Amino acid sequence: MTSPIFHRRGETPSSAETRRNGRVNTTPASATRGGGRRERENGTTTARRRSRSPSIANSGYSSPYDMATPGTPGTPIFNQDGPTTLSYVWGTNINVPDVTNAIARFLQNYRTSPEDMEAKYIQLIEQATEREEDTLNIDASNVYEHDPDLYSKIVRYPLDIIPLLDVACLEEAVKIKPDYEKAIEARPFNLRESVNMRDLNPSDIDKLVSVKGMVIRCSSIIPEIKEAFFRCLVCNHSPKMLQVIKGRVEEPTRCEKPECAARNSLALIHNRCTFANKQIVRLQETPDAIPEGETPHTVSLCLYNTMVDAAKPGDRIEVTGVFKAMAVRVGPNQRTLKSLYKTYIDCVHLKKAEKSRMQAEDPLERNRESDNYASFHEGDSSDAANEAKIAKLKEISKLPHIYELLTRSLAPSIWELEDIKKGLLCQLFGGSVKKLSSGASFRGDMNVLLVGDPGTSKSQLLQYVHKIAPRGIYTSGRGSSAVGLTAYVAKDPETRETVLESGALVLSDRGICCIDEFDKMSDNARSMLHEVMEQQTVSVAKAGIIATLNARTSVLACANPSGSRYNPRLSVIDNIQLPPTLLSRFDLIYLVLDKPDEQNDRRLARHLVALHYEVPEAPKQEALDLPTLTAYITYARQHVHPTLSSEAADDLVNGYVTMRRKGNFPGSSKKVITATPRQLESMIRISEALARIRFSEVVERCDAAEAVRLLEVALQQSATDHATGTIDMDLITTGVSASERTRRTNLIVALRTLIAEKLPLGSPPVKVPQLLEDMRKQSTVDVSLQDLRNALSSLSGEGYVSIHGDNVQRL
Amino acid sequence: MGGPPVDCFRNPAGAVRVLFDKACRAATSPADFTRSDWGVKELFESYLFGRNVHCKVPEINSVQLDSLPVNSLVRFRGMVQDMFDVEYYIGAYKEGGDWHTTKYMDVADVPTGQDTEPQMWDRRLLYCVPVPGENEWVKEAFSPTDGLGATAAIRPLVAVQGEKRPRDAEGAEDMDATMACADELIDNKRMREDASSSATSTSQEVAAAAVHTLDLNMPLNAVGGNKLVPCLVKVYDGLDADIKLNDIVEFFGVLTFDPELSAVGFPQANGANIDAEFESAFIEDHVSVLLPASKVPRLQCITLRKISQQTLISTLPTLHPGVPVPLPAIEQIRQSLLDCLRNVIGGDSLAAEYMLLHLLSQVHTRVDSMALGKLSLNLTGCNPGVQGAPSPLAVSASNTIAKLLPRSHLMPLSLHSLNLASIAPRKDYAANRLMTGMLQLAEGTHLTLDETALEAGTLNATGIQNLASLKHLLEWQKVEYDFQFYKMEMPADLPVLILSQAKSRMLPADAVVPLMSTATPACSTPDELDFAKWRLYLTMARDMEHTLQPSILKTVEDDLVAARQEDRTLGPETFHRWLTMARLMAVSYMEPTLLPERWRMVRDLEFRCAERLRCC
Repeated sequence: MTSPIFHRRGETPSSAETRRNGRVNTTPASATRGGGRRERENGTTTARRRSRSPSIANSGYSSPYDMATPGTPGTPIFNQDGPTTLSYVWGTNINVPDVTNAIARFLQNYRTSPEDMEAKYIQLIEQATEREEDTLNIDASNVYEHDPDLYSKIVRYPLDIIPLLDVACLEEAVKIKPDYEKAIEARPFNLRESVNMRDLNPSDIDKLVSVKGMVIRCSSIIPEIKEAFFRCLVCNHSPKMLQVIKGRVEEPTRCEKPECAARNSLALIHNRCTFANKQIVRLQETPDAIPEGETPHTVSLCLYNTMVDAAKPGDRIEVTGVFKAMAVRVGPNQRTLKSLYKTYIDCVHLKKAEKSRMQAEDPLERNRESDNYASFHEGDSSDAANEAKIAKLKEISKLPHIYELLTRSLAPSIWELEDIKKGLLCQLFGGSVKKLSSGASFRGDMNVLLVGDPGTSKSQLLQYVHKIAPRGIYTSGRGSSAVGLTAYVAKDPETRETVLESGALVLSDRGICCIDEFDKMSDNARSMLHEVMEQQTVSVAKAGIIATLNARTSVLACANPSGSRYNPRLSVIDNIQLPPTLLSRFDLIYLVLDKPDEQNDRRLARHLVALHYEVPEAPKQEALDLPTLTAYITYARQHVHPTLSSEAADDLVNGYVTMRRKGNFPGSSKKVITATPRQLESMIRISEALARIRFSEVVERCDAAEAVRLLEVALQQSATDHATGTIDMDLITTGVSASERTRRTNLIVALRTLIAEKLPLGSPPVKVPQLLEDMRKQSTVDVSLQDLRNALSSLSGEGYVSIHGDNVQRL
Repeated sequence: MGGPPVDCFRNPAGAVRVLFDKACRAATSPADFTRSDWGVKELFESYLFGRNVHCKVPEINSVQLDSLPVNSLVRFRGMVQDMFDVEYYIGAYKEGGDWHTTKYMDVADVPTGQDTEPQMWDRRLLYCVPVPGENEWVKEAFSPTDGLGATAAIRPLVAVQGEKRPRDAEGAEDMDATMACADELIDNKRMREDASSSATSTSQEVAAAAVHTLDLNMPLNAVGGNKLVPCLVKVYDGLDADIKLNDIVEFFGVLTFDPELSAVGFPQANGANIDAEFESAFIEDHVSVLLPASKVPRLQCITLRKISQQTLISTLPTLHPGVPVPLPAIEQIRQSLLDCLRNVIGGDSLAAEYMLLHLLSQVHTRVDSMALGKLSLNLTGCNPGVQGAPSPLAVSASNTIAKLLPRSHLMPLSLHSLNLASIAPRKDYAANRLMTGMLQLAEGTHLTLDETALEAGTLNATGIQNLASLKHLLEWQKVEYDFQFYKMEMPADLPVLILSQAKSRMLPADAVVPLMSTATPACSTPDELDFAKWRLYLTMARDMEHTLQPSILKTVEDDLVAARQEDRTLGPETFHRWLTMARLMAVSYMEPTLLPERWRMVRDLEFRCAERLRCC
């Protein structure tokens, strides 16, 4: 039906008068309520009652049925004359007593389950009367369940029916507590369907609607005068409180006391007037409701009393209220109306989307600005939808192959590199932060280093992680300074390249800092990383103040080998030229080596060609899409905090011990250190991350086994001693492999004997090339000049020989 | 149906009323005419497009605003910069037993009374700005200079005095032919030329000063005497259904002007009226009210059309009758354009090839977050301008591009401008408007970034944000709009040319070509006809469908594999570039499918380019 309804507020007095003629009489009930209580001098409660709906308030509350629906031909049955028991809502065939009865039936009979002893709302009213509350929330879905017809009446004619609801509530309250005087405001909520803000249209005017959105602006609280108190300045007589009618107070012109009767003597006494709170709030569509390429819509809300200040900008709320239109008045006293109207929602109920649950003990303190994270939280503000989403995530987590599925979903456009992806996945999920009672804490963040040939999509992996990661910062090692909150544009004097120096680490607190071209980072900045990666703080010393900033960040770095390609004959250290101290702080070090593989290349080529030319591609492998993956990770990081089970702990210890023992060749006395306690910590973190992947609160044995495997895979690649083929953590911690060290020791011993033989004390010095030749003759392995010089320098350090240029002399 | 044609131009409201009355007579209840336009759109469309007189409708911004009669039919070509909330109005009411409508009127007085049976309707408000960066030749294509004088019957009637005319519904009828004096017409013409020449100079001017006339929200409206006005368009009956932000749309409708509403606005605090405060809280809703009608004309949209490449293709030939359609000898045109480009960038033929491909590039597909088809170009080895002036190369290149592409803009990146300018649009909740930024541009707007203007110094937070926005644009062809509580990514399609001294580290381009000036004999300076040909050629080539034959598929694949086997440093980025270039290369020959020959050309170009990069 069409119902262009005039809002009372927008009308001129004359039109209001004319309209009132065509209105129904009041029911006895509403008369009692409207009239009786209003008499009281102490107007605080009564004033509040009327503040909710301006239209009702303005019409003096004598009759709630003033809403005209003139556009319905055929149906206007209304009763002109007064004292009949039968009355209708103007312009409809809704019988007021019928509705009142239906409401009473609903309140008295509705039970959540048939076994309940007492009706739900009677219970609630009883509670309200005991607590002296003045509101009663009515779940509209209950109404629908009980009486669909009543529900539709509430939604279609809220301005008429809601006051009836109020009355009915009060009647029930009086039955329970006969002397109960406070008004009870009925607040229907949880409508069956909530309207999308941009779908509101003129046919919704004066209907009850439910809208979701985000608060973007709140006005200050507006005191709205409800009852005016006057006092005669001559005789101090005060007339009764004057009601505000249509937003106006009729100021009495003459003192009513017959003996005074002074003219224009009455003054408004502000302190004794009653006011109600009001607030105008702007609500904007949530991002997910906006169609692509459009800007969000907004709608104004009028909030009253207890709802005032309940929502702050940025909050997601769902409001139930009456959609209203108000005429735009050009001049305050003009009699004609302009054709323009403004719309707003007069709220009856406000519900905040429960954020707290989603953010409970958020270890990552979700960054609102980050679009990556937003997709999950902003997706839906309603509990139900969130629940559904969480349920869906949980369902995904139950999949038997969830680990593989997630691995596949991570950077699906990059093939192979399965283990690396698994490592990155662990980094994204992270281990749990452990705080000891002593105050010491262990980081849960993992650091990963990728070293590899150019063109092995390291950067893409980094980009991808950066996209998913909370507060991901992507920076290039070249020209990065670790601290510094502003950036500096510098020009390389040689190449004339302009570079940007940014403070990435601090910016990525509680996130993942992706550093590309790690090897090209300046030593200065790199030294800062030491502290970041273990203590997770950054210390800044400036102007005599030493500040420690939090930088609880995971570092994901990728580096190119020092030559442009990885040289398998050299150790990792030699290849990447990073200080070993820094290297040991990475939990996982992966070598991304490009093995020429035509099959892979062909797949890449085919994929790219297909992308560009929309050639139908082979069916994609099953994978999660990016938002789901992000949501999954977010949820896991926030809500899953796994702890080690004792079996898993044992397994980890065993794994660690085995790793350490591996270096012991059977029957060999050479001891090679295979793992350090840092690696044990890494294992724990990885296994925790693996448990998180499964949404498991306990780290199981399988997690431990996989963690050991992942570390081994990573170590095998990064710490393989190319001379012996065993895992050798020494390679990382000192830069020289154990076998290399043995070789050097052997060389020194051999050299010492050689010198002892060839150079008796006091003999003339020998040239180094001569020594080299002699050594080569004697030794089975090839000795380089550099090796010899190294050996000589350590001998001279012992004070065995002295070196002057090329001359070696026995001391 | 409908009145004589002249009615539609001078008195569109009259034509609307005729149709409305007819609809009312046929209707049994108001509901019957509530959700229909009574054939108004059909009438105007058949009249405008059927007779092909749509370009004769006076256009806001090509005709002086105050010379346009109020309540006449006008058109406005602009970019949708912001979408305001829906406006509710009383669309029809009864007076004395007859129905009246206020549709296609800005605001009207509605009598109050019981029998008026007011009908509440709604309309959408679009805030449109003159197309940012639009080049002069496009303006001319859409509003032919000779159109005005030739068709005297429909030339805009000069209003006696804009603001003193009666504005009510009847006022429209009073507007029968006022004598349009000849000298006034000449005046108009001169004004327009003034406006156009100043526009040209501003588009060439340095946009360094980040002073934006924010209140009018024009994205690239740099300093200067730009007289173009934005327009508030009110759209009825869901005509805006497929209009998106940043679309270029031509609106046809009634020009209305109601200074009363904008001048008075809302009642300010009025002691006696408690409502005043209540209402003033809603003022922010009334952006439309707060925008002065003299600066932002209102257009009641009757019909509209989106401006696409096709529109341009169909419009262009009318401008230069000398250009044959379809274009003959594509290769010749292509070669002449290459020569021209080579001259502009200092006689480098390799770079000229890249430039041509770059000018043809546009995003054709988006897969996941990847934008395919973009080819941003970084020309290195450009000399900086003297004393903060933009690089001479940037100026000459952007001038040429301005003559070739419909929309383009030169943006010198200086520290100062980066630190001050707002590049990404942001929502101002206090004003309830989307504050524009330099990157709020329509699809296909070409950007020339002059990095040589960048000096060493400190970037503040804004500067970092701006640089990140530019980088994001280059990588993904998306612009993040800041909505304070969250960010919204808007897809963009802005080809970017970066001019720098050395390879730009801050702005990652798809292709990097070091310039090498080789002295080549300068070819003759191109004339207007040449440019007209090239424009049509570029537009048509961009609009072409392009596919891949399965036979070539194998060749390309094999070639990629072989290349990678040979040189392991070649990654997916390189292959993306090759494939994009191959497509563009084929398109530059107007070939609907890729030929092995073109693939070889691309490989050759890339080989030569890689060679140069190695030397540098």
